[in-house]
Amino acid sequence: MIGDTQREFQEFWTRTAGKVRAYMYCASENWADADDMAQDCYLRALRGWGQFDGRASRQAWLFGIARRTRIDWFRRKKRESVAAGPKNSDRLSKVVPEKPSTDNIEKVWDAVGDLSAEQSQVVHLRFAAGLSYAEIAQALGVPIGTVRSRLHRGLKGIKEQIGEWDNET
Amino acid sequence: MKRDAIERLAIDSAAGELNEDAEALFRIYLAEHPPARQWAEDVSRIYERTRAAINAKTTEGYAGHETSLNKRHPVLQLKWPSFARWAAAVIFGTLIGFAAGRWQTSEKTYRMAWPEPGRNTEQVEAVSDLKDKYAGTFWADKMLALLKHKPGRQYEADFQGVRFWDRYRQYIKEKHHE
Repeated sequence: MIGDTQREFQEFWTRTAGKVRAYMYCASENWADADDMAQDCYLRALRGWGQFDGRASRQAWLFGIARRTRIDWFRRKKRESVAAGPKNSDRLSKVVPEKPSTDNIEKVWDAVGDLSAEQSQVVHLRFAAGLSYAEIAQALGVPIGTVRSRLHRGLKGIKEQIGEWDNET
Repeated sequence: MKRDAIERLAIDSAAGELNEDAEALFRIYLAEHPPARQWAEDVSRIYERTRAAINAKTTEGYAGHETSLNKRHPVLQLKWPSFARWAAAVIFGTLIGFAAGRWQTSEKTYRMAWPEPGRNTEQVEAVSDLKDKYAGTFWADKMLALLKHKPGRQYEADFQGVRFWDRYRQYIKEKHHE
């Protein structure tokens, strides 16, 4: 029985680890931090493996854990940086370039970073993790219509941001 | 349709979230309404740019998760081929040991002598050994006296050639010691 669970979890991890890691990177923009968050996320998933009720897909369930892990991790980092003093607190502030990047990829990346937390969550889950609308809805605990709206508004925001930057340059 | 509705449908279409019928109807509508097609193309382009940018930034996550996460979390790494090799070696060794043990046991069994009916082999060996060891001594006579009270072929064989006088002397000695 334990062997089955271990094998099942191993297969699940192999299938999803890349997505989780990419999703974590979208928030931290640092692979070492993304790995820390992914580790924390999988430990939580392992602890709650037997409590999965099957109402959502396993992947959606995992990304629900990943989202909470990301939020907890940022709270902890924020507390640590506040305790460490003003010098380190800059590390957590959003890096917004004064001049827009000339690189298309960087432009879009920065534009996604400027979105609201709710919109960027949906954009990250859709593009970095490759989840379907239904899985995103399950992971965030919102209706599919809300996911659709947030993605739409998010893409509009990216478009506006890129348009502004294009006009400036 | 309003622009928002067109854009939402265009995003759903790019995401592959429209079913076949809805997709077909949407294509027909766009073909008949050029301004709507323009809005849809704009938002589809943004969708693709966003997807390409995020993929470009996070591709390393997919490429590197095997190495980076395995290095950081050895508890999740199971080397089944290595384990299988070790298990095979242990099983092979056990079988060899078992076979060797069986061979030795059967050889030993083959060399064992079967006891003859009506005759205790161990007792015969013990008595003959004692006879050799204590021949001509007081204890040899003592032993013969003890065996006198045990009927059987061995007793008879051991007392062959012992005279009556010798038996009497043995009796006197025993009496004296008592």
